[in-house]
Amino acid sequence: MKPTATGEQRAKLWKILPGLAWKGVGSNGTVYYPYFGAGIFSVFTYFVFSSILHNDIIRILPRSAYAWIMLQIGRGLLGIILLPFLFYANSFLIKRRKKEIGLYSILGLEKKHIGIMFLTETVITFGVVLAGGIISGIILSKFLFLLLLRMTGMPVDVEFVFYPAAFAETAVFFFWVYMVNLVYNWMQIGKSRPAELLSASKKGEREPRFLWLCAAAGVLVLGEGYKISMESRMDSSIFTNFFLAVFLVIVGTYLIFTSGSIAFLKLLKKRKGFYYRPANFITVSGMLSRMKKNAASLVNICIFSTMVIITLVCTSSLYLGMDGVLYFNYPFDMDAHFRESGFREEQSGTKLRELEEKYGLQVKENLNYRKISLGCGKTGNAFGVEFAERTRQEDNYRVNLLLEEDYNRMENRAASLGEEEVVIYSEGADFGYSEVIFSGKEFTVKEEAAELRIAPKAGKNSLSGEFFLIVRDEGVWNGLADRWMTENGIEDKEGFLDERTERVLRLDVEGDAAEKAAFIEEYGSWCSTQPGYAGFSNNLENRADSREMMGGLLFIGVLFGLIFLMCLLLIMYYKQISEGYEDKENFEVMQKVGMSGGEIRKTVHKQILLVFYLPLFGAVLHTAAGLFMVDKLFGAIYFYDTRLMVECAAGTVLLFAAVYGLSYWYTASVYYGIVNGKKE
Amino acid sequence: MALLEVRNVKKIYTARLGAVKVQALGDVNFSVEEGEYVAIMGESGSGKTTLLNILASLDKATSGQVLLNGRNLAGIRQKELCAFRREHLGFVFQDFNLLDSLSLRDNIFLPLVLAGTGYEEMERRLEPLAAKLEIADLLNKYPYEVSGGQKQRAAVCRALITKPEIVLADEPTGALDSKASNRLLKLFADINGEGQTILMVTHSIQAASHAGRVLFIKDGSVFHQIYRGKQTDEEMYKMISDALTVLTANRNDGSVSREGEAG
Ligand SMILES: Nc1ncnc2c1ncn2[C@@H]1O[C@H](COP(=O)(O)OP(=O)(O)OP(=O)(O)O)[C@@H](O)[C@H]1O
Ligand SMILES: [Mg+2]
Repeated sequence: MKPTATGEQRAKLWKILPGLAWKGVGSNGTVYYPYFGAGIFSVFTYFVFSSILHNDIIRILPRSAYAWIMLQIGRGLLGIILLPFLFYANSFLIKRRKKEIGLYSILGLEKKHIGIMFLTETVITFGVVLAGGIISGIILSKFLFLLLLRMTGMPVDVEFVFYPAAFAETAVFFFWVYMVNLVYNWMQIGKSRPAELLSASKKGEREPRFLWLCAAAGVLVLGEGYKISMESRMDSSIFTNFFLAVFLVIVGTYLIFTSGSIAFLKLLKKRKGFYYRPANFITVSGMLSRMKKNAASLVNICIFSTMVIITLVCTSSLYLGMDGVLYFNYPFDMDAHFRESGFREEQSGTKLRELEEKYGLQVKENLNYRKISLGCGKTGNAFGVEFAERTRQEDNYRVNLLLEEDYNRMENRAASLGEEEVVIYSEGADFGYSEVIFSGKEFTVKEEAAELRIAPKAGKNSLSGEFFLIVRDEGVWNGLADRWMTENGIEDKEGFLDERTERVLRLDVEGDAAEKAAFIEEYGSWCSTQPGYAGFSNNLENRADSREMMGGLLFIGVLFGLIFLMCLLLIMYYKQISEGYEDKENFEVMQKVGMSGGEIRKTVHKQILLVFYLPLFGAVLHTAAGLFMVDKLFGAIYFYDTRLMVECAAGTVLLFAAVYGLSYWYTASVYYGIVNGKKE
Repeated sequence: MALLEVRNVKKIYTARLGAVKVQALGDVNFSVEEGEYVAIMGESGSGKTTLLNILASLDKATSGQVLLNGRNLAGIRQKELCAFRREHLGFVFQDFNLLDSLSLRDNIFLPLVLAGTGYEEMERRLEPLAAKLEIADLLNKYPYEVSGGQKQRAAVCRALITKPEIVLADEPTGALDSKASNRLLKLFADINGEGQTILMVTHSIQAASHAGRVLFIKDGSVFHQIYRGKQTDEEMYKMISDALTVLTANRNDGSVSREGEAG
């Protein structure tokens, strides 16, 4: 058959091509509909991100900068995830359809025509997906926007507008996504001959080489990844370590799933007495071929499961622990700092009473103390020169010298310290020594305080933790400061000390939120006019800022959790379907050779179950190891509630396992449909 | 007593919904003695596969009886059917039906493993068979790594390893070229020479001419049969093609199926 068609024939071909394309989509519904679904959901999320980003409101609203930046980063990440994912889904489709296409080309359809058929199909897909995603986006993005505003604590009574740019950017991005897929499909038909296409789905996969070596390497690499995660410290290297650990865990999982499982199964197969028994025979050989073919998708399932779980753990812990973080960062409504030399206690008190009356509010808490803050390098129990050669970067701390008098008053204690005694307190890990040396002078630690109201403790705060030394009186106080200045080579000792000796006021106000804000505002501006003024922080605003930043994170966390989940479910679904088609033939053969349908069903079910829960098991392990690092990373935003995080993790894992099981149950029923020939 | 007796077998297919019925077999009667090599011929759609499936207990007859060694297949309970098939029957299919996930050796072992045979026993049975079928070197390969003829020989090996009372073959040469077909047919003749009973459905006169007896099926019943007696393969070939000419000449719609004759 020579492909020299007459004009008339050609015209006919042109007419049937779109039909073929439609048919291609329709008759492969089991694989195409989920593909559409995934595409629509991808467009939907991308469009929602774009729409929110383009709304002027998000830039005009007070304190929306964080949310905006995070959405911007989020959309970038989304693109990075969606492109390869939709590519995977597409290549799965093409693999399934190779036979059909081979048939077309044997029946006389030229490569050119198949190319056009693909083009038509892609245009259809692009149109449907874009329309579906954008329409659902228009319906739901207002709702999601309100959710974002709520989560970030921004005012909710705003108008949400759709901007053409959001439509355009979404369309352009997905245009490229589908373009890449189309080109890949074209390349697939371009380079293959019909005979190859026809037998493509039958070809057995080559066994990976150096099985044992790869398996051992996998265990080592995974172990190293876990180790990095578990031993990581909250310091400057944590981000590089984080990415290194993620990379190692992915590589390790891949090696173990591809080589380790096969090596193990082959070992079982070698034991003839075990292998050649009815139950084991089918299971081991079936799993072996399953692992060979599906290890890659199992790795994907495992990695995506881990991502879903970790994302949700972070999101839920942050959501539930937000108040804790805010309290830790800003325990008081406002802080005012003065130079002790200029501070006028009476005036300040009068002003406060005046404001109380004006706004009808109560100052609930009013802490007031003196301190000298000095930077020190710490070696063991000795504080010395900051950034000295002996000390590492991380071993430099701020040391606050407090007076016994203030301490007793604030903490309601009756410490009576000797000349050479101190009470010590650490915001971070306990100090733990019974002597302390400050700039060469040794003191006995009379007590290590477990808590201090002005500085909440978090044992894990190793990065920004400060030390507090409470000393007997101003004599000891000034003596210590003097030693420190000598050691650090300060020349103008008097001026330096005057500057460093601070008076700190920390206040909580009780009452109506709006009044409270005005109160703090006014007090703050009054402070700035006072002599010795050194700084004021309005923590109502600071808290709102943090809330907004974390709200943005949460919003993105929830959406990303959903995206990962969608990817995961689709991969799972496709894996079950492809196994269904493979097993269909095997079922028939086994039945003919003398195995009852029920028996086969049972063993195959067992295999699938085993293989299916392997990634879940892996994901739970990964999560357990990953939590160590998440815990440290949380330290960066002053989240120190490990217990809460572990509880959230347990809850998330249970919930996820339920969803996983449910999707298994659903995909398994599709699988049986295929195997029994009902859903062809 | 005959090894296999087919008495008044009738098969009617009913479409799942609705009243459309197709009568595939009308009234089939014949018997096969132990050690016989019987070929069944007939045009496409005449009911050969249907008949074979019934003999193989893969399908049930609408009425009539199939007796193997005097035992009625219809009387065997569903649960025991698989075990029965495994122990008494051997199958060779047109499309081999080997599992891609198993090596040829394991494919051959499959029915024995299912029957719970020990490994040593399986190896002991395999060795002479593999040598005879000339697949000893291929045992560790996978089905997708060997040729069609080699696959079919492995499938024959799988059918024989259980020492079945009768081997049922549905167009075993259908997917093979003439060289591989001849090799397979020679094998069938050899194993039949050793006493193995064989029942083979075929379109190919060439294939049928090796058999000791040829049954012709038309419109769902046995229309004619030819015994080899003392004749050579060539004379047998001539007789079969003559019989087929008669068979098809009787057709009233005029369309003649001659697909097998080239083989
Ligand atoms: N499952 C079925 N349901 C309904 N009708 C069937 C079914 N299987 C076969 N038939 C019909 O029964 C008749 C006999 O079919 P059978 O497959 O036995 O023919 P055959 O002799 O093996 O043909 P061929 O030589 O082409 O393989 C045909 O008319 C066929 O259409
Ligand atoms: Mg047939």
